[in-house]
Amino acid sequence: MLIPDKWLLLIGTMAYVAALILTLLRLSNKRPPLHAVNLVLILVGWVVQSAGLWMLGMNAGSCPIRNPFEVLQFISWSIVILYIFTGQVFRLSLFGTGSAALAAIISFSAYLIPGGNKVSPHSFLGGDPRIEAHASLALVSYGIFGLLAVLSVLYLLQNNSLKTKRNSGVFKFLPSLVDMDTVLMRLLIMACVVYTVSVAIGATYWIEHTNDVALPKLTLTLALWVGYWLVLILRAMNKLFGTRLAWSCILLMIAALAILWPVEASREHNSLADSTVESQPFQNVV
Amino acid sequence: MSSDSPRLITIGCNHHKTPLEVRERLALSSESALLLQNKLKEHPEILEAAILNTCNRMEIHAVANGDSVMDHVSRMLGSIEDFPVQEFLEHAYVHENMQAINHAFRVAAGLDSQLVGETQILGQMKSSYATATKQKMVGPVLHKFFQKSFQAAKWARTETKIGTGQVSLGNVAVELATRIFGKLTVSRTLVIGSGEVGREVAKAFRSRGVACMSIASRTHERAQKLSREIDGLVIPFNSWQDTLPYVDIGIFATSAPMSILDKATLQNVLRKRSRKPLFLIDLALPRDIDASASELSNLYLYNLDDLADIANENLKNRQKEVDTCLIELDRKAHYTWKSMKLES
Repeated sequence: MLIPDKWLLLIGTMAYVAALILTLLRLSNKRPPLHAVNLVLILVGWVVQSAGLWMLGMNAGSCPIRNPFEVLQFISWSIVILYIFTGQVFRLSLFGTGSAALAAIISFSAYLIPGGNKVSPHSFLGGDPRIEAHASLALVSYGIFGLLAVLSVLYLLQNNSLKTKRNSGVFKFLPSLVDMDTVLMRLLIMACVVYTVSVAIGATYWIEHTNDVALPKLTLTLALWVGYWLVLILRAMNKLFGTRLAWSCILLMIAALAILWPVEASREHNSLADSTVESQPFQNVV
Repeated sequence: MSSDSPRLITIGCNHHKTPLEVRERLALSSESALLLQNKLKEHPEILEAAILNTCNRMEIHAVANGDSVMDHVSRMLGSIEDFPVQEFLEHAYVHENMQAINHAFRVAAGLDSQLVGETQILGQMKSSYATATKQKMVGPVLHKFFQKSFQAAKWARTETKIGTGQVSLGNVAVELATRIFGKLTVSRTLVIGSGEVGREVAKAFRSRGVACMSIASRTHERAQKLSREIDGLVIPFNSWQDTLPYVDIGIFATSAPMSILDKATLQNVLRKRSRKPLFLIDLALPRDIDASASELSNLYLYNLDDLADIANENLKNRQKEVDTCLIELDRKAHYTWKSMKLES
């Protein structure tokens, strides 16, 4: 049986699903999406999800990112809060629906990970605040990566529909290519800045505890950081744009999600090692 | 008309059975149309004749003696330089007497048009009638044929709702541009050619407040006329290619006999535009832009058929009205044919 915080997280996710279903129903009836109703549903979902995460955090005595379940919930939450703030500025049609869909997928997949809910008794969190700041900022940047991926999918859909000359259904409600390109650039800048701050905070800790960081984790984290900066630089130089930029953002998001697993495994391994050596390892969440 | 009297006949091909790439080869230039008209006039078995030559159809309406009108017409078309007679014959239809009247009524009412319910075709039919009259190629049969067609079109327009909810090509093009650029108030537009369809589309863009409109046409006077209508800037025709990298939307509607913009040129244009997309609307027939250019990324190329297909998407809602209209036009054609027979 699910405990209250899990129920709250599930109810929050269901609100995102409701926003998605409502939009799909409207589109299938060839009617435009109801932005205000969608936003309300997403806001309600986010508030309920926040309550669930707050309860988890209170139990943990730290940011609720102690296991894969919590990490995925935190990413899902980050996607939505970032959408709530940036989406209203960018005002892109279907961006909210896409964000809600991705948040719901990530949140649901958190329930499907076998043993993903286990909390190690030797959690690194709650100690040095730099670790928590580094980890939570890294997960917020994952939220931005998620929004980038959502927008990239919308971009590819719009591009494909224009190329194949399809005008009906969902396609005519998609944002324009130029608007999406502009927002992609802004989100890329945001993602690189937040992720860099996260890596920088982690680095200050790592300098003092070089032996505590597993090499694969460090390599993957830096590779992802380089990957996003490379994409941003190429986009700024007009060398990478349009569909290739969209595909790059999607592939980077997939890579970011894929490296969560080795990082988590490494964390588990280090936590167990902690119990014997009784040192507090630097834990780079992503 | 009695059974041994001259026959009313329509020979032609249109967008229904003839693909765009064939239609563009069948399109007659104004000089070729005039040449054909003269040949029809000179032929002893053809008593009356008019040519309807638009971007989507080429039809010859004639009153002729004998059974070999099609052969005569084929020979005449064969004498026109570069005209693909064989392809024409493969795609051609022939309507006689009442069927010809029935067909003309549908055409005049816009029910046979690519954009169902449009009114432009009526103007083109009137122009065809006027040209034939000027050439003294219209006798009592074709006169009645055209007049009754115009009346039928007027009836369809005023008494039915076939035009209700119809989306114009201009609006479709603007909608597509909005999907690419968002707000059009910062988009620059270039209009090449000054044909009627191009003008309609250009006006639609102007009404949506595009930032700047440039016009280039071989006929300077027509370019100036269009520039006054849409508050645009006339540029010399030989410099339009230099302007292309700096515009977002290109409307092509020239009467050039072959494409004026190829894939390689467009590749260079896109390179100069860095990451900005380019939207090209090719309304010309024969097409002004090499169709293979649509493969280029960041370039969105739409031709007349593409726009018409989108515009007709709401046709299902009007289908019942169209069906009712068709039945009534058939009835009218039947009465017209009966009265023509009685008169003869």
